[in-house]
Amino acid sequence: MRVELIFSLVLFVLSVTIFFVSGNYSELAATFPKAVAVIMGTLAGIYVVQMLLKKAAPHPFGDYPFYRIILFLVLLVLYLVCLNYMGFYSASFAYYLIITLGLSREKVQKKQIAVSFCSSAAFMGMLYFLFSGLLKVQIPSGMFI
Amino acid sequence: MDILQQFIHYFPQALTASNLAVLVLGTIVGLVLGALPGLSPTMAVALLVPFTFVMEPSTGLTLLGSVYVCAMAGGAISAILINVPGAPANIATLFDGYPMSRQGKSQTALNMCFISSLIGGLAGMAAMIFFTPYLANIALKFGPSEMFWVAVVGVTCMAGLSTGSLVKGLFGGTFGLWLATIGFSPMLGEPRFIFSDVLAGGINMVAALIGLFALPQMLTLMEGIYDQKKFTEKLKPEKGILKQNILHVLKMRKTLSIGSIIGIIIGIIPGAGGQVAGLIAYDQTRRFSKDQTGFGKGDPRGVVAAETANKAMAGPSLIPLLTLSIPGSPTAAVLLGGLLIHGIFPGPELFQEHTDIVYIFMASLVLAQFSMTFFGILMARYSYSIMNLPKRFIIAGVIILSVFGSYSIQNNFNDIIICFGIGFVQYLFQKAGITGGPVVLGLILGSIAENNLSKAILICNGTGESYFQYFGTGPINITLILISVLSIAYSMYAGYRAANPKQNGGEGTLCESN
Repeated sequence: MRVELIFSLVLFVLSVTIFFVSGNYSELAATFPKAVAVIMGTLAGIYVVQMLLKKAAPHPFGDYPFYRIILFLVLLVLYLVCLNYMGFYSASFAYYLIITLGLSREKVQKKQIAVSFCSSAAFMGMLYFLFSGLLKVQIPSGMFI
Repeated sequence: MDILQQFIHYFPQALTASNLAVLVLGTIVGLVLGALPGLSPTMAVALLVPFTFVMEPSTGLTLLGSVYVCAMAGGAISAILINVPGAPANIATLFDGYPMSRQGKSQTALNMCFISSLIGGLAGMAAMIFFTPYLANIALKFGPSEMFWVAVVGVTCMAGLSTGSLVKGLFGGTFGLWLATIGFSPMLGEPRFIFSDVLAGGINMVAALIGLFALPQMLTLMEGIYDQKKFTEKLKPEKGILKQNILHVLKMRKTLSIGSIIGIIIGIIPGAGGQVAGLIAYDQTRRFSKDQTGFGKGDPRGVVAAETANKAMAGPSLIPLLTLSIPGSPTAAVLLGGLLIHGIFPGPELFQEHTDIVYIFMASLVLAQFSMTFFGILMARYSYSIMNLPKRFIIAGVIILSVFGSYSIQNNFNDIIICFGIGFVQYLFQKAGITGGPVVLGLILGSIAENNLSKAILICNGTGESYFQYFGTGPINITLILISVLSIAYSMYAGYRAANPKQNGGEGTLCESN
């Protein structure tokens, strides 16, 4: 089954769901979402037909190893979870360090760890000076800073 | 000519040492704060209001005015360099600005951005200085039906913002319209589509736009990080290009005119904002261009159109505030606070009671356009160094700035989840060929369209007036309906032309000047 065809079907189902969920609201609150859902559904329907008529397209991710995307997203979720426990600066420091090392094209060596560590510390220092020192804006806080 | 004489009379008073010092300070602070995603011009002005307590009213307003002008320009820096708009007004700038940077033309893109900002800004200021009484009268004529049609005109631009498939572009736009309905309904406060507590406050526009552009772009960068061919080339400073860039922008007379006119018109409409001005100007410039193939791929006209329009709206957007005491935007509301702190009450008598302060304020806004251009071009010279950073540092930095940007809007953790949730959905959309432009346009226009549609329905129900009479009569309504119809007709014609290239002589040259 082609990926884009499945995607277009998901969009069609989403449009139909929005239309029926809108039916639970009062007339004034439902007018606009219903109208939008009808247009969305029509367009998604055309999209489905286009995909049915189209020859199989190349996979949207090509040869790229999809697990890297998943890993990146998992790290992102962990970072967001840690924000509330560790605090913005310490969680961001760890995230920056892991991402810059993890996405390195070469084998991780001491020099790269030192570069990532220093750049992460410098970036966090700059953000701390700007956000907390100068502007005094609120940031997510936790056990550390 | 009384207004011009007054302006000339008070202009030298804006050139005092203290005013010029705060002007420079406001310019630098505005550009830096504007470049940070999430720190909108509104927040930048709000952060500086307390500093004006101890200043003379004219000096304090000079500081706020320069920050207001420059924060919007600063937003273009991050839009062009890292594909994350610093402010909503810079959304359209990134469509062509970021591709230009990827081609090694970041300095050219930024130079053109600041030069066109100066031209658009001066056009807007001229409109504000000379036509304030007339434009205030026009602003008063925009009721719910007119505002609804303004949103519809914007919706018709979705087709122009979609690249590739018209159906996908329109779907992206309507998806954005639906996103705007999440939360409480505007008139009744009824909860809609709140499937989780995270969505209780609706979709915050700034958080959504950071997510729409930041996460998909970072994931795309990550996909290409192991491609040796893409990342071995180091960019070098583009020497001696400023004069060339100035001449290039000045040749784009059609683009500059479209941007300025649209910016001024959108500016006087309360609530429309720079984002609508930029997007509509971008779309109209594309439509009026003989060769449209370069748009979205790094066409300088896209940057010039968007930046001219969002700066041209800055001056006129203050007209409802100064003459009618109606803040037409959140930034204008903060500026209103700044005026009130100094005992200045905007309204019809403002120009008689505080003539000196009003004209010095206007003069400082004009001067801010020049200082913004000067410092902006200075910063542009070093822009290549950001593009030369290893991509993994950019990815980590942008994600962290996105977290900060989405959180700082309302100090709400849910906005971070919304930002990355929408970003991931947009990444999947992008894989299917649905770009972020129409989605963000739908999100912006959705609330404007629904608010005014609901108001209009209630008015019709209350007065007994028919919907046709309310929505379909009056010169402004009819003009806007005609523009919408023409816009749709043109999209269909352009679609036909693209499908049959042989019948219309094929494609023109890429990036041709006006």
